[in-house]
Amino acid sequence: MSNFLGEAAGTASFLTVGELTAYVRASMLQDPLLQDLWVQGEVSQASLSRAGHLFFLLRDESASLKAVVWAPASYRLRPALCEGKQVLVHGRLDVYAAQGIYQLYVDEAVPLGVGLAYLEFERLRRKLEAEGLFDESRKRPLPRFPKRIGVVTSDQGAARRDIEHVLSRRWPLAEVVLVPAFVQGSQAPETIVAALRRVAAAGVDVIILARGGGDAEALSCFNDERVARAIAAMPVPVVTGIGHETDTTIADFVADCRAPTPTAAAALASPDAGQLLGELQHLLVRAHAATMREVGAKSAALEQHWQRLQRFTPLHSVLLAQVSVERLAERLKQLAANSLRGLGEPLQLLRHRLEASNPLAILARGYAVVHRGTCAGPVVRDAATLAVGELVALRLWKGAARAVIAETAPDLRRDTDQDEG
Amino acid sequence: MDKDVPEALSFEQAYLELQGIVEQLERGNLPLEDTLALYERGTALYRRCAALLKDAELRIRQLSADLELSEEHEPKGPEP
Repeated sequence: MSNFLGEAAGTASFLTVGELTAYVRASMLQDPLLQDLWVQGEVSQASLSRAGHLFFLLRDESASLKAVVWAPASYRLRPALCEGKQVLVHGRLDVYAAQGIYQLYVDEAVPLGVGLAYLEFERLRRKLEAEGLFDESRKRPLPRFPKRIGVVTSDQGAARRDIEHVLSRRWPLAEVVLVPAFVQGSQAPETIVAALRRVAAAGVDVIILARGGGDAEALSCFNDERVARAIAAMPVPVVTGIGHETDTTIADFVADCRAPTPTAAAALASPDAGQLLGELQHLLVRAHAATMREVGAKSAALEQHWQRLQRFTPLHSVLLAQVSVERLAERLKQLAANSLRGLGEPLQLLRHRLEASNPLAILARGYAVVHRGTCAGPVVRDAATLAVGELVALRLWKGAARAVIAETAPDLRRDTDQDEG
Repeated sequence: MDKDVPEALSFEQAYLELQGIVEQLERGNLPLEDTLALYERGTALYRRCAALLKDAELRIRQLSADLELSEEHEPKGPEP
């Protein structure tokens, strides 16, 4: 723009109206303050054009400013821009060259009280953000199984009832330390800070700071710098549940964890007992399955050793070992029967599978069943009942065979029994 | 392995120990006696946790926010 003025000054001592207006407009557009500003004033002479644009004057004791809101924003902002109202409007300043006027092109308008609160909110938010109070790295994880839960909220009111209800349903193992505070009014920030310090001193694992729904004015104490700093200074994690889902306060930004409502805050701060019971049952199922697998593997390994040893060592010591394995397996079965009662399907299946697997597998491992005479004959359990030269049938994993007894050793099993006794 | 009786453990202690036992069992390679002893301990821990969850009742203690009062002061309502 400097060459614009240079040209004009260098060649002539006057400007056209258009040139001057363009120059004024250009200076206005260059000024960042004028392109993004909040203005306070009283609304007057508001009128809606046929095209839906809203024209009005913004006034105070000493001056007035023309302002316009284009459609469709005008429809949204019209209620705030009633005649005689004190407002804060946001927009940019520009020149309307055809009429030689400057005016404010408004894109936001709020009642003065709300507007001041909003500006203060933004100022504090930026300040604390710059200090790093909202950093993700400051957020601490919530304890999984809190023993003592601190609650700061109104003595009366639904928030307290909701929190107690949720905690007693989800996590009744906890002790709740409740410190009431005013959550509305000018004293609220002080009592909230005092209550937070008090509850922290009681040695809680986590703190819930909550308030039921309310209008912006009611929630303003949670936008107080003292409250924000007190939350940041808490030695344990803080969960906020303030207002409804759409409300966000400075306290929410500073908190380690933000929930949309008091109920949700209580749920975030506590594990769910019902779900935990399910997890515990699942752990037990896993313990059971792993134990079964281990016992199965051990007896299979023993079986292999036995196969190899039977050629070289006295049989009865191996039988002894096998008996002790059977005793362990019996004990496991006992334990399983005691502990798994009522646990439902998966465990029953596992148990049945284990029980079913041994008798089936045993022939495959090289055992044979001895019958007297033919396979239809009685099963032989005692060598003493067999005579040398007697005919027997052997049932194998696959097929059968007939054999003649060459020799018997009837005392082996009885020795074993005596050793046990 | 922790030898405390399960009845003396907090929920968190019992829960974490049970978790450890399951992992130990799933890794395997333990003597059979140890396996069964772990399993037995695991079921006892499970029972401890389940009993705690079922029997618990939320305790609520109310304190005053007034920091000038001593810790022992009777619970009362909010400051005027």
